[in-house]
Amino acid sequence: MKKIKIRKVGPIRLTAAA
Amino acid sequence: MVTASAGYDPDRPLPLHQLVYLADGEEVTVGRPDIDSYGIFPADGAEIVRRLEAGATPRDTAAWYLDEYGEGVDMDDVIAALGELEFVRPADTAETVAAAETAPAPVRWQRLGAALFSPPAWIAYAALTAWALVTMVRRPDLAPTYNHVFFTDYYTVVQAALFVFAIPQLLLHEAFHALAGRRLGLRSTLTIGRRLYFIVLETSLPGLVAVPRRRRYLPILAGMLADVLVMAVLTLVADLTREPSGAFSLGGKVCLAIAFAVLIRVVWQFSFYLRTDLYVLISTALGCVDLHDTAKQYLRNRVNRLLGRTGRLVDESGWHETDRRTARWYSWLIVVGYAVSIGSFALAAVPIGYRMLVGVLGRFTGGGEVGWEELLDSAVFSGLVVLQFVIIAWLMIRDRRHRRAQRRLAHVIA
Repeated sequence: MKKIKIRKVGPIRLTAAA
Repeated sequence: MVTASAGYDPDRPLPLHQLVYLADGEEVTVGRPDIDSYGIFPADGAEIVRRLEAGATPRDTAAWYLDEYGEGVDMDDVIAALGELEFVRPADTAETVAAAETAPAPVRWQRLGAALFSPPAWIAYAALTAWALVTMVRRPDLAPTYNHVFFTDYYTVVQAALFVFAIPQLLLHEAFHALAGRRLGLRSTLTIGRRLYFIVLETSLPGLVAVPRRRRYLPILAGMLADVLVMAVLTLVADLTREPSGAFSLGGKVCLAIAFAVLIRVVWQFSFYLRTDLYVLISTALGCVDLHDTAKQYLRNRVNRLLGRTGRLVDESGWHETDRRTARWYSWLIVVGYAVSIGSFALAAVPIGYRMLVGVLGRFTGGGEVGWEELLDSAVFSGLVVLQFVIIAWLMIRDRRHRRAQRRLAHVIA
């Protein structure tokens, strides 16, 4: 019985130092 | 293997939202662009989702899997994972069917984004940058130097001016990220965030993970493109507004001060261990999914193994294979980077800040005659420093609360 590995991907965040 | 206990009927099609699929190496990113929820599936897992979305029943899909791969699949787990990713629609009613069939609203500013990164725009950007560079070479007093920052002897005026002018420039940097995303039809959100002891503006482009990697580079680098263009314009304005004697006008001096502050922000992007734009660029090029967190866990496990604290080891089975391979060498760069940042903070910023605060407080408490200008100067200066500490403390508390409030996922690796 195979368990499928599923991964949630978070958002890509782009920054600038204030 | 299918049971009816997991809250779905194995003999009826499973209603799913409209999904997008992006092949990425040997895996497939599957997601719901309307709510920006995305998961990475192995190829066989993605094929299961495709079949379910096409209307095959869970039981038929499980039978297909057994036939294709020669072993059964844990269908309950797959469907529970689809639920956690919010891919499953509540049982079909007329309303949910109608809602599912309406196309998502197009994002605003998409045409502006397309125009901003069109061939004529690129020619203009290249010409502007080349003009600024040639001018700098011909008149070296325009080349960036930290002396440009001190356009007046009133240091508080310097600090306040750089702070005030930083805001539109930061918003332009983030707007370029957002518009390069809008060009691809992606939504974006702007928030305030924190990196170590830096306050940052943060544009989140969740839909970017469902775009082929080679098309992600422009949205990632668009912010630094904006920075370079701002530096070019400010330098040219300083050159064109000189006094008849050739000296810079006050406006020109302010332009050069801001241009140097922008350069510092571009250099800051190279501290990739703080998850800057260049970190996103590197991890995208290497095919990583969550390099920073994997590298941090890798380091933590190494330290705990050395200390014999095996009870504190993080489960490594959840790591993405590319992240695991990259973390072996990348994790050491994080150590070096943090050492440089924290070291420079301890050796430079803390003593300087302490000396300045003592000087400022001395003006308020000292017995001598102190003019109101000096008191105002000190009050504004210390106010700005305290404000930054307050914002950073607030961001730390906010992020901690946010982490605690996150749902625990049982069937999906978060």
